[in-house]
Order: sequence, then C-alpha cells, then structure tokens
Amino acid sequence: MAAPEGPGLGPAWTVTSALAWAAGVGVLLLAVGALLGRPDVGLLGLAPTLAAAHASRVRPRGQVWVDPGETPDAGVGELVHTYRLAVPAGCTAVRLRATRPEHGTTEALVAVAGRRDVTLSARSVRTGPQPMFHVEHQGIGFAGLLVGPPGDVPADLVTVLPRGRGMPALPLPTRLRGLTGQHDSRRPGQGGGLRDVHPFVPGDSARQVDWKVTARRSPRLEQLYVRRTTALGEALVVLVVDSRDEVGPDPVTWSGMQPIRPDDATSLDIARQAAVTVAEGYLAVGDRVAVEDLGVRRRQLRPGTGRRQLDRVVQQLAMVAPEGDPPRRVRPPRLPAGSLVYVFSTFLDPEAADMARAWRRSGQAVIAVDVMPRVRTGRLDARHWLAYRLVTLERRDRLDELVAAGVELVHWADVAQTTERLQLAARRAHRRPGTQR
Amino acid sequence: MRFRILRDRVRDLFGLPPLPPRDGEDVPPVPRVVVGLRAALPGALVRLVPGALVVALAALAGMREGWWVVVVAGALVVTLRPRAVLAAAAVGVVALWVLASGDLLAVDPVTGTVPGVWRVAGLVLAVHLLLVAVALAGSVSWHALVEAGVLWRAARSVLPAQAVAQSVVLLVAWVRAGVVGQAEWLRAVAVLAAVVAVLAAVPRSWLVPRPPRQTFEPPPGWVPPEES
Repeated sequence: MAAPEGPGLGPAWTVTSALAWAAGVGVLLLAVGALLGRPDVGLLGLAPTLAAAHASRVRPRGQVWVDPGETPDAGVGELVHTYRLAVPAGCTAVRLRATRPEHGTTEALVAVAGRRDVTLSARSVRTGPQPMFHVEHQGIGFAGLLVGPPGDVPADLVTVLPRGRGMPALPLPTRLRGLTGQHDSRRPGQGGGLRDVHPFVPGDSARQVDWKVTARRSPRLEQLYVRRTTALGEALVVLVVDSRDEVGPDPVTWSGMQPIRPDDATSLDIARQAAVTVAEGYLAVGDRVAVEDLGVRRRQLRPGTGRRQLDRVVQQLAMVAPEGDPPRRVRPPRLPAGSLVYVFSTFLDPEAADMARAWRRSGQAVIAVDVMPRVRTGRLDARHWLAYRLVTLERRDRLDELVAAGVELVHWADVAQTTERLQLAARRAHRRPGTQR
Repeated sequence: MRFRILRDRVRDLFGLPPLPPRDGEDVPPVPRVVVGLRAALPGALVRLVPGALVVALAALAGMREGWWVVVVAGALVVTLRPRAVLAAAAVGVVALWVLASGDLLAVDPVTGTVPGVWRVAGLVLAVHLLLVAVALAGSVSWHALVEAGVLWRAARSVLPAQAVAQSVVLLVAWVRAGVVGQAEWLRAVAVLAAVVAVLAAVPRSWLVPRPPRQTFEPPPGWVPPEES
C-alpha cells in the first residue's frame, strides 16, 4: 500500500543537517557554559537550542503539492502557465526551479501561506509542438532549518499554432478548376463577367440576347446576338513544406550541438508562418489548398476549402517537424495538374530545388519561398565562416538555377520584397486572358 | 569594409581563411523563464549574509589583528559553501575566543554595572542569525530570486527564541550587577534550565534505542535462486 502523500499527509519531514548542527552547537555551548560557570558562553547557545527544539516539534508532514491545472492555449510570443501551490502547515516557503530547454533554468524562493498561485512565463517566437515548463519544487520551513522532500512536475507538451501575417494579393495558377469559385475562368458559363458577344445558337437563353448589339449589327433581325459570360472557377494551391531541416539565424547552431535562442525564429517557424499566410489568402476567397511534406511522406493534407480546411492546414503545419534522416525521394510527389505550387524550403540541399524544377518542367506554376532567416555571423570563427561561405555559394547557385528555370523566388524574411514580388506575380496572373480574380 | 578586404588578402597570402565580418547588431541575452514574484531580491544578497555575519560575530567577540585572517577566510568559505557544519565551526571558534578572553558579563567593580551586556546580546543575536542564514542560503543559488516575504518569515521565526534568550541575558546581567540581589541558588537553577533545554532540544527519536538488526532466516522449504 502506498504511503499517503500531499500537504498534511504522509511522514514528517526529516531532520536536516542544519537543524542538527544548530541543536548540537546550542546544546554544547549551554553545557560548556553551565559546567564552567560562564553564562556569556552558555547564553550563545540558548537561542539556537530553543529554535531547534521548536522546529523539531513543528515539522510539517507530507509534501508540497504543485497543481499544473489545465494546459493553457499557448500563443506565439509568450508562454504562460499558472501553477497552484499547496503546502503543509509549518512550511513557509517553496523552492521552485523552472526549466525550459531553450530558456535554461530559473530558481526562486517563493513565500507560500497555505495556497498560492504562481505564474511562470517565457518569451518565445517558436511555433509547433514544444514542452512548457518542467518544475521542481521543495518545501522549506522554519527559516530553512526544515526542508521537505523534493518533487517535480513534468513539462506539458503544447502546440503553438502559427499565425499568418496577411498578404494583399496572391497569384493564381495557369488553370482554374471546377464550375464554382470566386475567379473568372476561360470557359463560357454562368456567374462570371462578360466573355464575348456571340450569335444566338440553340441552347442560348432569350434573356441573354443583347438587343442593342443585335439592333446595331442586324437591323432587320436576321440574327440575334447574345452576351456570353465566363464560368467561375477555383484555384488549387499545393503548399509543399520542406521539414527536413530546421536552422536558426546563427550558423553556429546549424550543427545541432548548440540550442537556438527562443527569441529567434527558425526556418521552420518562418515556413509555417509563410504557409499559413498563403493558405489564409487562398481559402478566404474559396480556393482549394493542399499540404505536402517533403520530409515525412505520411504528412499530407488533401485539397479542401473553407474555414475547417484552414484549421486543418494550420494544425498540419504546426505539427511539421524534422524527423530522423528521411530517405531521398527518387521522383517528386504527384500533384494535381494545373495547381499552383508553393515550395517552402531553405534550399540548403538540392532536393527541394530539384522538385521545384521538375514541377515547373511539367507545366505547373511554382513559387519557391526561401525561408532562411536573416543570418547573424557575429559568432562565427574562421572555420565556421569558411564553411558558411561555401554553403552560401552553393545555395545562391541553386536559387539562381531555380529562377532560370522559370520558378518565381521570394525571400520570406524580407517582408517588403516578398509582398512586392507576390503582388507583381498576382498582377501578371490577372492579366492572363480568362484568369481574372 | 576596405580594411576587411585588405585583412583577408593578407590572410590569403599566408594560406589562412578569411575572418567573418562582425555585424554590429547587439544580441540581447537569452530570455529566461520568469517566475511571477511579489517583491524579490537577488539570491546573491542572501548568499552574502552568512559571510557578513561571521565578520560581525568576530567583531563583537573582539578578535584581534592576526585572527582577522582566519575570520575573513571563514567568511569566504561560509559564503561560497553555506553548510551548517561550517557555520557551527565558526560559532565554535568564536565561543572559544569568548571563553579564553574573560567573562563578558563580569561586573565593573568601579561602576557596579555589566559593560559587556550589549556585546553578549549582540553575540547571542548574531550566532542565531548565522545558523539560520546559513540554512536559508543553502537553499538559494547565486542566480535565484528570493521573495521578501520569505526573509520576513525567517526573521519572524527568529523572534520568539531571541526574546527568551535576550531576556535571560538581561536577567543574568541584573543578577551579576546585584539588581535582584546576590542569589547563589540562581546558578543551580541555570544549570537545571540548561539540562532541561538540552533534553527539550534533542528529538525523542534520538533517545529511543534502535532495535537490533535482524539476520535473515530462510523459511522452511525456501530454495535460494540459482545464480545465472
């Protein structure tokens, strides 16, 4: 049968060495003073003796309870979690040690009278699944002369959902799909804008007859003319996220031996934000969005539309993370024909660029989003700098080859340039006959 | 910029790789986990208190020049490693010094007063505070934060014992000065009180004899497991 635990339950706190030494010194001085007739020496031990005697009799029972409560909804910017502390009678303070992998450890001695709520917070711009706080605790009583058993609360795992930053205009694919949507397609149909004026043929409605044009072109009414409109269509956008690597702004951390600062957004954080921004933009106008992961094959989201699809996309993107050493893909994932492909990658290796070029060759519109954060070279030594230069040269060549192959390239860390490039691409797409937004 | 190019050229002449540019952005310190505290003090202050109390104890005891080296060394050791045994050792040294340097509660034959009573009162307070401060500092790291409420409660827990101890100091001073008469029987009472205090201080579990350690006797029919 397990021993009862909690405040007021369980065994009394053990006598600490501080209490034993205080009692020992006090008793010794009292004895020496009494035996040698030196009250000045004996009185030095009186207060410690009394304090130790009292402390040993008011020893608390049980251990400190730390209730993490419900895991809060974590947001980008700051992680906050409130813990409820409950201490046994006689315990006056709690020693807390809160740890997060990127933030390190913070210790505090907290005064607690019975119960108290303590809030832990940490600034972080990271998104995706991450642990909250690992809390170790120990009760302290009678000014540190009594110390309770230590305990700990393991860290809860929370998923910080990425947020988009809004984009004024987004390009469209070369071909629209379906018979519904928000965009005018090339095909004649209902719902869209004026396509052309055409002679009346069987199947045309009398309502479509344009009498002014008919009167102008055929005053004797030998031929009727109708106004034909375009059909509506929807765009299919595929977000291809390269989750095989996650790098921070400091190249020293790229080896994985050093942690990335929590206030530095990694390439994957930027990819998540970029993908959510794009998904929000397309789903808001009724287009279909799918998600494909270059790192893990099981992570793919089929095309869909609407608010629930946006929730699914955000959740899917939040769960994207590097997993082990993924096998090299022999051929690119099969994407629906006529879709607009966004590739979010750091392009530190050729695989993502090869895929983008292959999709472009097959006739699909491809936009490569470079999610490399702004690099800080301040901590690099000569060897790191040399390695970084080599990697940068290779990467630059790779990006130039992408542009030469007809892939639109945007650097997401450069907000102004990204917005300008996407707006330009959107205007180009809108000028294309039959594909207006 | 030009200097950097020139520097890299020179390094290249000697077959050395170029040095990275130092971008001027100041990188702030890594953010820490923040604990919501009411009024907090740095733990370093709490860690410094035992050392300061050791020095105060030595000053009150009247230690002389040569001993200050020992005092400062002791203060440093207690500051760096706040262990109860070190605090007890410091108190023991001070008590030996007091024992050797004459009765602090002796009556001045000219004035008939006890001039050392304030020093004894200070020593009684400092010894108690040192033992408590070392116990508290042992639970606090240099980078920790300590709520003011913890220190206030620690100070409050010292008060009852100090009230009794300081009252006894005054009582002894009055007896020595003849304010309450020359009562020799008070010495016997003091010895008796010391014995009672000792018995009260020692936890009862320490006085209970431990049961003898029992040897293992296998029950009938028990077969020891085979060694693999």
